[in-house]
Formats: sequence, C-alpha cells, structure tokens
Amino acid sequence: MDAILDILEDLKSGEDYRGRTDLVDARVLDSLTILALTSELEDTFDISIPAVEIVAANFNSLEAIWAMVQRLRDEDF
Amino acid sequence: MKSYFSLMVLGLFVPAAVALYQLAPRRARPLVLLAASYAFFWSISGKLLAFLLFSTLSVWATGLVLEELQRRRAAEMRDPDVDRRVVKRRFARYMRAAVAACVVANLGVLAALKYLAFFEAVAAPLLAPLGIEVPQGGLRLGVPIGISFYTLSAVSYVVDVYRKTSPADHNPVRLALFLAFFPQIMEGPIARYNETACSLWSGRPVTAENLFGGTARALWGLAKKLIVADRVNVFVKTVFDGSASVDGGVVALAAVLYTIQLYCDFSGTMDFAVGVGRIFGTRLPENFRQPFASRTASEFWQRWHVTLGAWFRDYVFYPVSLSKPIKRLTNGSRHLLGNRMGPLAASGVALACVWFGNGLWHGAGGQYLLFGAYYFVLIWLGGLMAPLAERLCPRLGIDHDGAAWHAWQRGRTLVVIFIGELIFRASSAPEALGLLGTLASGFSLASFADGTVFSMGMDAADFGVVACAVAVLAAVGRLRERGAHPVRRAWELPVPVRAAAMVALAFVIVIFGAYGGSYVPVDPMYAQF
Amino acid sequence: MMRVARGARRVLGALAIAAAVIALLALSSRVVMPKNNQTEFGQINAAANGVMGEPADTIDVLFLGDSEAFSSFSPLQLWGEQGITSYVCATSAQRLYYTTSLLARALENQGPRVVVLETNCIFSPMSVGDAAMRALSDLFPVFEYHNRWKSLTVDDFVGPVRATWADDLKGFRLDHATQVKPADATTYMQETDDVQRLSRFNWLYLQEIKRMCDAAGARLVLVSTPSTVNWNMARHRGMAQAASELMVDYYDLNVGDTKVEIDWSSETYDAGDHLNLSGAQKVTSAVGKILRGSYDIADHRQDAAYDGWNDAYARYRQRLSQLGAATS
Repeated sequence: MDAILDILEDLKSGEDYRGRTDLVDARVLDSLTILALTSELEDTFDISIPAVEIVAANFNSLEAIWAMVQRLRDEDF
Repeated sequence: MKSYFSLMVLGLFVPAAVALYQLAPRRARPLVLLAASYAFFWSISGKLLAFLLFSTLSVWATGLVLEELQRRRAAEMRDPDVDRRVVKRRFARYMRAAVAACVVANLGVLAALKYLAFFEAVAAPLLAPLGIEVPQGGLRLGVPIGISFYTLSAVSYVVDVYRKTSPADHNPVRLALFLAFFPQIMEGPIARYNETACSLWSGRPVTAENLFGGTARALWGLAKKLIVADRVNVFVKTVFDGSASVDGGVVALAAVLYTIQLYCDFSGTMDFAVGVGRIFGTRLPENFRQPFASRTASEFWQRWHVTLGAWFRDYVFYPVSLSKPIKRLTNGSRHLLGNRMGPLAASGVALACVWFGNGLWHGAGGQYLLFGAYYFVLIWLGGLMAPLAERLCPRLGIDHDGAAWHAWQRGRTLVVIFIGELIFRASSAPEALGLLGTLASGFSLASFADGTVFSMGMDAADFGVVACAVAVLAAVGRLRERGAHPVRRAWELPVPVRAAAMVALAFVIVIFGAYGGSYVPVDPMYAQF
Repeated sequence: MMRVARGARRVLGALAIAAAVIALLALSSRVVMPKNNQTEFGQINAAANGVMGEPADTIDVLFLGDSEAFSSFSPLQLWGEQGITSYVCATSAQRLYYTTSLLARALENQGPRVVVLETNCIFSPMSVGDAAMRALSDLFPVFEYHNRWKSLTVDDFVGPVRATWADDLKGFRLDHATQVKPADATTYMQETDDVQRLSRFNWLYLQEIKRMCDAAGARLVLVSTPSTVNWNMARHRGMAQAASELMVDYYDLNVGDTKVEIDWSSETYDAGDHLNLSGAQKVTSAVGKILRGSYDIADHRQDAAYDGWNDAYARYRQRLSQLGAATS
C-alpha cells in the first residue's frame, strides 16, 4: 500500500491521502489523474484494470485501491 | 408548445398527477406515475412513443440476456476441469456482443431520427464528385421528446448491468418508469438506474414536507425562467436571429446575456424537475453546482450539466482510455514523455471522443461540433499545461493557492464560458466564427454610450431586473460554495414564514415575469437537444 | 383530538394562504390597471376597448371579430348612410375567448340591439391554456397588465380606474386604406362538398356568446366578410350549419344572395386577406342595408342627443378626403 501512496504523491503532491475515504467524491482525484494512476498501477503490479473497475468505490481511499489491486492480481494469477 | 411552465402543466397536470398518486394504493402509485408520464409524452410526441417503448424493451431484454450469461459463466467456472481463462474470454465475447447490439440499436435510432438529415447534408457535397447521390431530408418522422436524454439513461443501464454495477431488472414496468418519468423526460437530469429506479417504484406517499419543499423548489425554477430567462431572450433573439448588424460590444453583451439565459432556463427547468421529483418522494440528481465559480474549463464541465459530463466520463472517457489500443498508446507515450505527460497526451484521444460526442449530442450542426472542439482544445491543453503552471507560479511569485490567483482563474474561465456559449448559440459554424470576428475586431462601446442597447428588446428597467436577479443568484451561489446551506436553514423557519416567503415569490413572478403582452413564450431551451 | 386540531390548523392555514394570494392579486390588479382606457395610460387594445368610453346606452350595434372586422366595418359610414350607431370591438387574430371578454365589457354600459360577429375568428384554433390565461386575466387584470410595473405613477396607486376615451373611428382602421395589392381569385369560393366543422372548444364559446347576447336582449348575427384567403365553401357550409343549430341569422358576403361584389384587383391591400377602404365601403353599405331592412334599429340622425356622432362623421369625411378617397 505504500507503493500506491508513493505513486499518488508523485502524480499529485501536496494532498493527504492517508485516512481519507472521499478521494473521488471530493474531487481530489479527477478523471485525468485516475487515468494516470491506473496506468501506473498496471505497470507496478502487473495487472490489467478494465473500465468496469473505474468506480468511486474502488478509488475513494488507499485501502480501496489496494483491495482492488489485490483482487485483480488474484483473478489473473 | 412543449413546456413544463405552462398553465396547463403547472395548474392542471401536475396537481392532478399528485392527487391521483396520493389517492392510489401504494402498489398502484408507480403505475399512476408511468401512466402520467406516457400521457405527457403522448401529448407532445404522439405515436413516437413507440421509440421510447423500443428503447425500454431493448434494454430490459438485453439486461436479462446479460444476467443469464453471467449465471451460465458462473456455473461453468465452478467446473474444476475447465480452463477458466478460456471460459472468461468466451463469455466476455458473448456479453460484449449483447451490449454492443443493444447500444448500437439505441444509438442508431437516435442517430437516424435526429442526425440523419444532417449527415446526409454533410455527405452530399463530399460524395457528389464520386457520382453518388445522397437522399436528403432524413426520415421525416420527427424527433421524440427527450430522446437524447432517455437514450443515454437506457445505455447507462445496460452498460451498468454488464459491469455488474446494477442488477438486471426483471420488471419492465419499473424500467419503463425509470426512463419515462415525466419531470425528467424533456431535459434530464440523466439519472443512473441505481439512483432513481427503485425510489420511483417504491410508491412513497406524498408528505407535507416534500410537498412544500418540492413546490418551493419548482417555484424557484419558475422564477428563474420567467423573470430572467424569458426576459433576456428578447434581446438575445434580436442579436442572433435579427438581420441588423451589431458591433462587438453588443455581441459581447449578447454572449453574457445568453449565458445567463441558458443558465436560468436550464437550471430553472432542473429546479422544476427536482422539485416535482421530491413531491413524489424521489431525489433526482443535481445538474448544476455553482458553475460560474469554476476555475478551469475542465471544472466547469463538472459543475454545468453535471449528469451529462458524468455520463461521458463513465461511458466514453474511461472505456476509451482503458481500451487496449489506447492503453498501448499510453504506454508508448509514457516511455517518450514520462509518467505524467504520457497518459495525458494519450488521454487526448479519449477526450476528443468525449468532446466530439458532447458537441454532436447537443445538435446536428457545425456550431455544436465547433463548440466541442473548442472545449476539447481548452481542456486538453489545460491538462497538459497544469504541471507547467504549478512549477512556474512560485518562480513568478504568484501564490498558487491564494485568493488573487483564484480570482484570476475564475475571471478568465468566465470569459471562456461566454465565448463558448456564443459559439453554441450561433445557428451555424460560419456564423459563430463571424460573430467571434466581430467580437475581436469590431469591439466598441458605442452602443452602450448612445443607448441603443436599451432598444434591442430590453430597456433600462429590464436590465435592472436582470441585474438584481443575478445578484441574488450569485449571493446564494457564494453561500453554497462556502458550504452553507441557505435553503436548508431557511427551511427551519416556522411554517407561516415559509408560506409567506413562497407567496411573496409567486407574487414577484406574477409581476416581474416576462409573459403576456409582447413576450413570446419560450420553450425550455434544452428540450431541443 | 390532537389530529383533528392539527388537521383543522392545516385547513385554516391553507385558507389563510389562499386569502393572502387573492388579496395580493386583487390589490396589485387595482394598481396596474390603466387608469383610463387609452394607449397612453397603458391600455392594451385601446381601440377595441374604446367602447367603454362611449356614453351609456348609445351603441345599437356591436361588431366583434378579428382583423377582418376592423378593416371591413366602418361605423361612421354606417352613421352617415343609415344613422345607426355602432362600434367595432375587434383585435388582430382575435380568439373567441377574447371576444367574450370584450363583449362582457361592452355590455356593462351598452344595450345593443344587434351583435355582429365576423366569422373568421370562429374557426381560429384556441388552446385551453390560452383560454385559461384569458379567464384568469379577466378575473385579476394583474396577469394582463403586470408589465406596467415599469411605468407606474402615483396616480396608479391612488387614482380611480376610468374609461372616458373612445376611438375616433369607432374601432375601424384606416392604416392600409388606399394601398392595393391584387388578389388571385381563381379558386375563390370553389364548389366543394367539404364541410369545415367547428372544434368543440370553439362551439362552446360560440354558444356562450349567444347566451350573453340573449341575456342582454341583443340579436346575435353572424357575418362573413369577403376574403379570398380566409374564406371558402367548406367554411361557408360549416358556418351555415352552426348558425342554424344556434338559431341565429347568418349572412355570407362571399356567396349567394348576400354576396358583395368585390373587385379583387383593386379592393384588397394584401392579396385577398383583407379589404382596403374601397372594399370596406362596399361591405359597410351592404351590412347597413341588411341591418336597416331586417332589424329594428333606430335612425338617430335627427336626434340631438347624438350630435357628437355628426361631429365625428364630419371629421371622418375630412380624413377620407385627405386620403384622396371617395367620400360618397
């Protein structure tokens, strides 16, 4: 999960990502940022994120992003 | 005349619908709403109701097909002998085909009814040199009311079922109500299945609070439409539809006034929709969130016509960006341009799709495509320049988070908005460019100085009314931006005060409304899209 | 017990709101009503509403209808030829719901013997919404005159509502008197079996007009003025049927015994839609003869009480000669 935090801070610094559950709802992550984030996550964790996963529930908090990454990793073995 | 704000609808149809709804037993209430909605649709578009029924049934059937496919896939995946990846891929193919067929059919109907004539007109000069004659005139069937809106809702339902964001609905009547609900049919808001379908179906009784609150909201919308939008319309029509030539100063004023008109007309209609929705116990999504407080063009589209922007984001932008060819492009450009610029550059393709779609959605006309291209360039460049600006600002001594910088951003965004709406209002792309040219080259304040601006449909008193209204709206908007909820606070006042406020508002509408006499009633502007 | 109290309070509250709304509408109507029935005071359709400024019980014939009426019937010519006092309460594109409003206003002060309704407006389609708006405006004039907020004066708040003005031409219009634009009369009043029926909504209003006339002791008479654009055999048949059902006299000046011979190359100013002065003079003469011959209407030319009409007539003739028109 620290890897995700690093990616986020690299993409958009100056925000506190820990402990928040409203990253999408509060528009901290806008659509372009999410796209860049997706690209990074795919590279870093060797997964493929389809469009169906781009929902607020999966990106609203660090925990949610990590859960999605893990799930996609397990699904593809 | 197709308008929610007519005497028949406000004085007869809505009260009757509310009364019948409340008197009906709970299970019958959604049927009352559906009957009312279909009656409303019929009164405007008649037999074209068939197309709404087609959309409803096609997405209902496709939803069931998808659900069945998902069930079969799960069953096959339980078999330990089978290669799960192969099964996944096979079912993915079937499901994609089902969704594609449904989406293409629905968008195809929309394209045929609304855009065929335009495509034919565009294709004719292109194909003529090849000796191919293109028939003109489209299907000559007319366009069903709200087709641009309910088609998007229908497509969103089917895609949501595919993505398992919503369950498939076995109940075609519930789906029918979701798509046809009469306050939404003309101009949206474009709701998702998860947002409103079950709420509309629940048949909640009308409560005094909801009746009061919903009526107040609808009244507020009526005020915006009648007092501001229809008043400004006379001036705007004179400039855009009149034959007299005007100087740049007048064009600029017309752009500003048209933006005000569009906002008051559209958000006023949304107030009506949300208000009536509330009376029936359903919360419809908001379409406006203080759009003139935006600091960038991109932000504007998250605050103006919110449900349309969200639809394009969820059903065009992300799917296109995350499709295989675009992902490859993204990775390629990441190698070339780095981790920040790479995805941004590649997302340009997705953005182009969104803005081509957004422009075209508004209408079959070059000015709408120009409008789309305008915002595409601004938003894409804005995204590319943002990191640059972030680095430059401290060097230039500008406080990136300070009030002054924000004010500058808001001001320049306002100019961007006004120019965009100028393009939007023109009746063709060449006319839009011509007006922009007049704005740039022929700018002069002469018409203000000699008073001709007061003889183009609005006199000084009219300008005064509009200015007061805009001031009130701006004040309310500023309160909302700061997180205050002026309406909720007002609603905590005792009932007699609230009632008196509503009576006063209604009275203000009667006196200052732009109706009767030389005013022509204006159909809600977004209903034409 | 509590529930009853709460219910009663709600009902009382609703009544209080209703009372407040009515009071506001009534008060504001009083304020924005034009304080005299002239255009300068903000009166809408002043010429037609000028009938309210005529001395009481002096008008024997009322003409109602749309632009066909105010361009074809000249009350002052009728005075000169037959000594009949009349007024034209006609407005552009008049709809029957406005006809009833004008008739009601006119009947407040006048007791005409005959009410002539020009038939073009009887076929004009009406929307329920517009009819409702008209009824609302008659009840609370603020809906019609609210735009006067821009020009309110102190007098509007304290002064009484008066009606002292009448149109000099008694509702007739001379705007296009001498213009000529020939009409194509080749298909004019061609024979056909078609019958254009009135819509049920229009029929309701026509019946109401008949009822109002009966109550006021006036004879309702339907007249179709000549027009190549607006009138045809189908309409003639439909109107004839309606007139017999309504039991009122119907004179179609386009056809038959009552036909008025119009020279379509010189007596219309807009290619057959409306008549110019020459055409109007023919029509007025014909109508005058019909009124004199079939209805008991007094000839007031020797009556000293109607001297004002002689003055108005003199002014009328002067105006016609200024236009260079025939004044016979």
